[in-house]
Amino acid sequence: MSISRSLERDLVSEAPEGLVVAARTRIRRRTAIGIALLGVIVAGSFLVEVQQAVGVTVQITGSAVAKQYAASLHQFYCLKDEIHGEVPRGAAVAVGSGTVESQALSELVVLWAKPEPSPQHPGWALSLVTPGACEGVGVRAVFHP
Amino acid sequence: MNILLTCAVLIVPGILPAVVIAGRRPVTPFVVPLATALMAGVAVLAMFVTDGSLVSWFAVVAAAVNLLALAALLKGTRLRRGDSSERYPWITFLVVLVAVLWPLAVLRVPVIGYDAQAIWLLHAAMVFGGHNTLVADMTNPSYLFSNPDYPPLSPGLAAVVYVTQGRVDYHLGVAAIAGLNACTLGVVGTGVMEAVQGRTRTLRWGANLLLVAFLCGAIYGVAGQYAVDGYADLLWAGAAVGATLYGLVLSPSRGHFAVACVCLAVAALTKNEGFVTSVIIACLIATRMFTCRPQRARVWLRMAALGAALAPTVGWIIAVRSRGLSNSFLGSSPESTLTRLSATTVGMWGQLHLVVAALCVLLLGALLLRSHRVGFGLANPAWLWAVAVLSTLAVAATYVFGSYEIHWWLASSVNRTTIFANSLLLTDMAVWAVVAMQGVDQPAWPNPVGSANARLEAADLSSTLTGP
Repeated sequence: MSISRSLERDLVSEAPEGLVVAARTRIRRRTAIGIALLGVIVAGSFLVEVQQAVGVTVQITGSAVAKQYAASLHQFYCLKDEIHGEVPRGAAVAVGSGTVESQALSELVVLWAKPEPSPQHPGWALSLVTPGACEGVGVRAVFHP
Repeated sequence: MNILLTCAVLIVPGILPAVVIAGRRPVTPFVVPLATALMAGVAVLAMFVTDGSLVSWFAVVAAAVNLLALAALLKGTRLRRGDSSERYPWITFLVVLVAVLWPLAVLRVPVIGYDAQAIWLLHAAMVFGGHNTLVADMTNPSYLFSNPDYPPLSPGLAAVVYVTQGRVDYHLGVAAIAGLNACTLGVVGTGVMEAVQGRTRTLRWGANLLLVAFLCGAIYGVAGQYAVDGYADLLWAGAAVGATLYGLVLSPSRGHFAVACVCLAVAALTKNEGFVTSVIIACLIATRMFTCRPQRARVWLRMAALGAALAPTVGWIIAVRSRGLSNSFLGSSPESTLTRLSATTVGMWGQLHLVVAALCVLLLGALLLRSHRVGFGLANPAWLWAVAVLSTLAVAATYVFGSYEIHWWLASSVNRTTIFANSLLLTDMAVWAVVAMQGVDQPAWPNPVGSANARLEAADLSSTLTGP
């Protein structure tokens, strides 16, 4: 290791200055090409992702999708209001379990009623029905004495 | 009027702590909402463990943190000036602000993601209801679908918004989470600007700023709709990228370390995979401190700070486990490990589309710009890549040893669980590009490594010409 190092040092010290300058120019050119390549890769990657971000923004703010989101939130609040009108606060309500409907009903009754997987006696049972007043969906509440 | 109150409550409590932590730098305004969100998360933990309402605990936590910050100021902690703050800090801040805010224009539409409603906003409503409601609902089997063990930072912040509005407002809850996502990207963007430490000419500084703006946009592109529809994946990912950048890429100054700790705490208190990644980052930061810094006393102080950053999440995990709640992901599956492993590999590799480009940039940077990178005081990129690899392996292990049906699970989540790795790779590319811009007309010159290479090459040429 040390021998090769000293040999390298000797070679470096013996190299003519003109060749050193030429070698420097070659390294400089290679480095510039490498940096340009790096820049192209970075710029390409960033532009592809930024284009994706712009696409998402345009898609969401497009009138059809925006209306869909607004309708969905309106439906959620509307169904909540229906439940508040039909089920007394703090009541145990049967919403089922393991289905999309039971999950939606559990979300709807939060802060108002206590969701249960199966009906209690006495207690309420909730289900979603169509057609309904909330964007085509409604809530049916049945009291089990 | 209520919107102004909401903004004030989300900003004011975090101002003094953020200024004490980050100093007077472009990153500080982005740390402010993160500090407030952390207080909200800790308030939820306190409320869950003890009693009371979110308002009272948030007030207590905010007052305590602000008193500590004030004490630190009075004790004589000087406000740190950033390394790059000499050069137009306000312009840096404003450009990054615009870069992270423009995608939030979609918030005029009530865009609410499926999991955002089923998990984060639902938890926020439970938090809004107070201690009894929170405990009763989290332990209710009907709410098991919402992963009640998830950490409470996002729900805490959204619940603070509900409190200021006096009602549950899902649209505003989503806006608060999306705003926090933007702040984490602001931290990342200003962090990349700090990489060159003000040692750059105005034109290149402008080019760096443009690059950083594109970086923020690119991370939004990686996150897609999940950046703005109330999901918390970009929140933990952005915070973890910030922690990696400030703790494992930039020079190990006190200011950088403090920002890294805040980011770690945010990532850990946001999501389970954020906690795992934060532990990985904290271990690597500790290793870097032990290998790079000789002052052992300060190292132990910093170790304590790393522990403090993870403490709220550890407290949360203990609290929810004491109530019988645990992670629903891990468990036995009817599928074989090999089936799950192959599906996971294919699924994750399909999402990690930036790996090849990032590896090319790493290779070019390591060959051409290593000495420049060292000259700027930046750490070896191996630290950042170690975080990316270990975090990805942790996510992959969760899929392989998890309980859900693997194809459904991957289809419904892999594009979110890879946001962190892709964002981290984009940030690594940005750091290399910033370094390259400084070295474009001085290629490894006149640094000693480049000079020796030139002389060696000239000597080779000379010996070839003259013969043996």
